[in-house]
Amino acid sequence: MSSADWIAISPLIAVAAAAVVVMMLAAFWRRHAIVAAASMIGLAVALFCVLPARSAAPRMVTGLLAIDEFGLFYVGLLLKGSLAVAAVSYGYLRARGRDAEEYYALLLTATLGCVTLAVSAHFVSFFLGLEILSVSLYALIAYTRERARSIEAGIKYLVLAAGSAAFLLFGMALLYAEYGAMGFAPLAKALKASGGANVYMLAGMALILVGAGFKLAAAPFHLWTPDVYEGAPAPATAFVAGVSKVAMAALLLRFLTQLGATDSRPILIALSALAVASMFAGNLLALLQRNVKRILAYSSIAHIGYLLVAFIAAGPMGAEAATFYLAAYMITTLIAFGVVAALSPRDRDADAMEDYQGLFWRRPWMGGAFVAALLSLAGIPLTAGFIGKYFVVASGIGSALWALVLILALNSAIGLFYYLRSVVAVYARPGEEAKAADRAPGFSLAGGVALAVLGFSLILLGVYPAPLLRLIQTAIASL
Amino acid sequence: MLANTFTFYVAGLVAVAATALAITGRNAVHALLYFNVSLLATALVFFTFGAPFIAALEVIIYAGAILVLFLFVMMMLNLGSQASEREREWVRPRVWIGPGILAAILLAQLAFALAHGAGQGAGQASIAPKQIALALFGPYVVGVELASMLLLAGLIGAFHLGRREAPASKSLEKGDA
Amino acid sequence: MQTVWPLFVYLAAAAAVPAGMIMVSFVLGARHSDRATGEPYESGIVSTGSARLRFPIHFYLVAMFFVIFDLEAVFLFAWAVAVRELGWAGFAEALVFIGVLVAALAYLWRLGALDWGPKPFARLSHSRHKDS
Repeated sequence: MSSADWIAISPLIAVAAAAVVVMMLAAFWRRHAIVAAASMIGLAVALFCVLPARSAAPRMVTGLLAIDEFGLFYVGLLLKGSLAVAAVSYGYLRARGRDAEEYYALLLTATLGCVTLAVSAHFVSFFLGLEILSVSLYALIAYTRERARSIEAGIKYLVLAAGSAAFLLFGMALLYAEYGAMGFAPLAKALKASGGANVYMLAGMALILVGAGFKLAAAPFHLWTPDVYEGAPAPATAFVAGVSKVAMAALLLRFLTQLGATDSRPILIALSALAVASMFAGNLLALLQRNVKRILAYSSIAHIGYLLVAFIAAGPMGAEAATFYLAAYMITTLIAFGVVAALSPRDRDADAMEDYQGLFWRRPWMGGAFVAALLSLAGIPLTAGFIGKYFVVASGIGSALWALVLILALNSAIGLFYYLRSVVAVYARPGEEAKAADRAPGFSLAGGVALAVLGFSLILLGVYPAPLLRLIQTAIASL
Repeated sequence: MLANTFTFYVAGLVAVAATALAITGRNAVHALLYFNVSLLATALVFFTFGAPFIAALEVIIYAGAILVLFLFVMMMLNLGSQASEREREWVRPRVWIGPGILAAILLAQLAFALAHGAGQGAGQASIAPKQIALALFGPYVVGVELASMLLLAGLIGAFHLGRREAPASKSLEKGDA
Repeated sequence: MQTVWPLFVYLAAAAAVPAGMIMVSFVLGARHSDRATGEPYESGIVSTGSARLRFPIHFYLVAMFFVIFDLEAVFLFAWAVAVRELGWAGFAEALVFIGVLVAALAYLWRLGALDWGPKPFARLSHSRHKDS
């Protein structure tokens, strides 16, 4: 490896080193504030390393990692998301009051898995990145192990993720058996040479889509989502929903684009089926929920459906729309779960609708952030979610996907109902009981700053998306 | 070639027989011993395929898994005077003679196969462990280092979920909240 | 279509087996619901207590640690067979690999995960005093 290679993968090295350092701190200097600060500094250093890495890009490092503008854009996005999760976690774990240190080490390894996925261009790094992410998430989801629900969620995720990993591996094995290549670029070349899709290719792609669909929680592979979101501690849920899905989507975007899989009709049909099923399953089931975390879980399923519409739309426009949508989705989700984390007392998560009754009157800033997140999820103008949805619809119309765009519009209307219902609850007059219980035990200065920055970005992207869009255009052009 | 085929079939038969005995065994320890032999036989099958490295992994990893299963058997028996009596029961020849014979067959086979130059691959090229090592620490070195981080995550997660509550933590919690 | 029919036969057979099992047990099964039907033994002494035992979790931890370090040994085994060819570059790569896992070992040791006794993790609870 040359020195340029080292510079190119320096963000990954920084995250890995931070994980080891945080683990050592957890062993020898076991103080929550120091461990949390160290992990945030580690993530910030990794984020800073993206700049020199960009100067070394584009570059293939040992055939496994493709350090290009696209990958580095997502690495930056994921690191920022992870930083926000770490900041939000601090107050939450302080309120819980014990054994907080391992959380940050696991958060950092999970982040390493995510950034590996974002830059991987090979089945080996794809699978290893996914497994690092999954193994860290098993423990993060079950982290509050004194709660039966957390343990249940962890086991559910463990069993289903292991099953989906088996699908993924079998799909990779089929493609490797037929084309003799595991790197995305050599695979694409072999695919072209063999003259298009055959049964191995389709079977392999189908199995890989099952594995990826599980991670993205696209219907019909979404069954774990509500239980895991509900059982996991709120900051871990924020990571699962906001960060890990972005990483998986980035990998899928690269994989499908490089293989030219979106030219294949059967794959397009499969993706469309996933999109339609996710939109309807997410929105219709969300209508039945009263638990805030479950509502957000079903809403995230629906959002993956919207995202897949952009995947199906051909060309760079679809990829750009998908990337912008993912950025907006990540910010929005992190705000929503960040507020849940801040409001959570030490023995449970604030996930009942009653916890949000009149939140705006009790805590105007937090209530405002929560409402902004809900409106962004619903796709109301002046929020990032609106611009994201606008681009997705535009890319869909550009590729003449009329049926999908119509279904998307219909589902947005359904979604409006339950988002606005939650908004109404936040603005309702608080009952005496809620007033008396007015506390945000999981709130910390770091979390507050993170929420403020996220909220500011949410509005900024909603009114002035041009700079981010330019960045995304350079990123997609390198793909 | 003939030696290879012969080794393959006998090892395969041993694997099937040992697995059947492992499934039908009523005593957990018997079943584990047979299961162990079954894994060793599978390793020999891999060896005849021309994949000695995979054969070695089969022994290293699955023998480890067997050890873990033994631990779980120990866990399920409440340690006590009854258990030590039962343990005395296990070391009788009746228990280990079956797996012992099957393992002896495998050993004889391995010696026979090595003497006749088997393991050159049944139809395909044999991949030496050295080739795998050169690939692993050459073009795939990023994968190796990622694997170390994967194991690290597993360790931290397993430790956190499995740690016992410290007795003093109850009073400490109050101070923290 | 010619080649696909065995698949359908197979599917039908696969469906028939569990359906048959359920049918037969439904037809032949005893259906009565007396006071003691739910008990393990319908006659004799009424059982007391639970059949569930609580197993010491320490076995699980040791098992997990063993499997993880076992897998580490696999990578080192691969490195060992080609140690001359890989040279100093390979040595450095293996060193990083081992270093990460040694750090993990130090972590476990320090927190008392490897202590095998009645009062485990004493260091952990002690160091918590400084927190908060």
